[in-house]
Amino acid sequence: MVDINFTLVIQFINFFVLVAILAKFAYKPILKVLEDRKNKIASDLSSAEEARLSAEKLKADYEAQLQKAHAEAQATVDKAVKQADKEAQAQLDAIRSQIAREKEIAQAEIANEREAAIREMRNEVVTLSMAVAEKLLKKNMDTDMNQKLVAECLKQFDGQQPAGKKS
Amino acid sequence: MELHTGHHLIYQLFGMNVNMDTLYMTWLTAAIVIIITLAATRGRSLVPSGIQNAVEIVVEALLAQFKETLGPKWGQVVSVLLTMFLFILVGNELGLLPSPHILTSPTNDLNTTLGLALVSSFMVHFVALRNQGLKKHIKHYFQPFAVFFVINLLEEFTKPITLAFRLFGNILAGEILMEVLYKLVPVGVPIIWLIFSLVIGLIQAFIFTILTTSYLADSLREE
Repeated sequence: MVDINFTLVIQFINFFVLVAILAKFAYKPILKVLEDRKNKIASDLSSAEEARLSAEKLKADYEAQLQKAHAEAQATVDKAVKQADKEAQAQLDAIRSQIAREKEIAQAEIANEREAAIREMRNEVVTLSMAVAEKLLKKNMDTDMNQKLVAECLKQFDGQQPAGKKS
Repeated sequence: MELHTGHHLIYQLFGMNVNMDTLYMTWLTAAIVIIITLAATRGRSLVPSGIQNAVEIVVEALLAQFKETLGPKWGQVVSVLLTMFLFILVGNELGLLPSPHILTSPTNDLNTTLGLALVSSFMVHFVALRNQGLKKHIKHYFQPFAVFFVINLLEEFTKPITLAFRLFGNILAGEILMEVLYKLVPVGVPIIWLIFSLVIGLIQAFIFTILTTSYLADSLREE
């Protein structure tokens, strides 16, 4: 049952013949297919990674653009609001200065009117005083005298005027 | 009770005995291995199917082992190791086919298993000489100390002998038990042993190949 003979040598040779046949016709193509598949999977994975990275970059770009657009829109709105404020302020200032000017004019007119009224009143007073004095003195004065009296009276009146202006 | 298993058909060749039945079964095994692997390579598609897929699963599983054990130079011995596994696997399972006294495993003959073990030893020395040179290869027998020379030398004989007898014993015993079971309880029981033997055939093929791989790993090592 257990005897070693020439079969051993033949088996030894047989095996190497089988190895030679399989190596040439079977293993080479099998190993090549396995290698090809490995390379393909590796390249597919790396290209998928590349695609992912470029998609991420694209997304970041879009987001940045969106951000920029937002900022620009905000800036435009801000600028418009500022401009409107400025214009409103300018109009307000113009109106204010207009009012102030008109007030000044009105005040000047009022002052003029008052001046005129005072002047008229003074003349009236003088004339009236003259008449009163004439009547009191019952004496007709010559024109020179009259003029003198008037001037004197006016002088007196002018001296009293500040007190009268106050009232 | 006369057992058929283990008896050989002996011819004289150049005045020496040759077990012809073992040789016939060896050639049949080789033919089956060639047919299967060629069928697997016929398609060569990147997306495998059918027999290509089956062979690729086996080859890839073995390649993973080889690469891990042998390192970057695995390509030098991959053909021998793959053939070893496929030949032993197909040979082991061939003897389990229900064909009384016609089909036997070529691996139930010590000449076959010892032949394969000698292939393993031959490859170990061949690859070592090719990769490390004669000086380094001889030097490794005296490591780690000179005293270890005896043990290292002994190992050169125990390695192939254990490889050969482990495979031979498992397969021969399996076939003998199968034959005995068929004679004792023809129904049912042999089926259970058949299933068991299928697994044993796979495991023995794997063990033989992996042990050879680990022996070769020393020969391929750098430093």
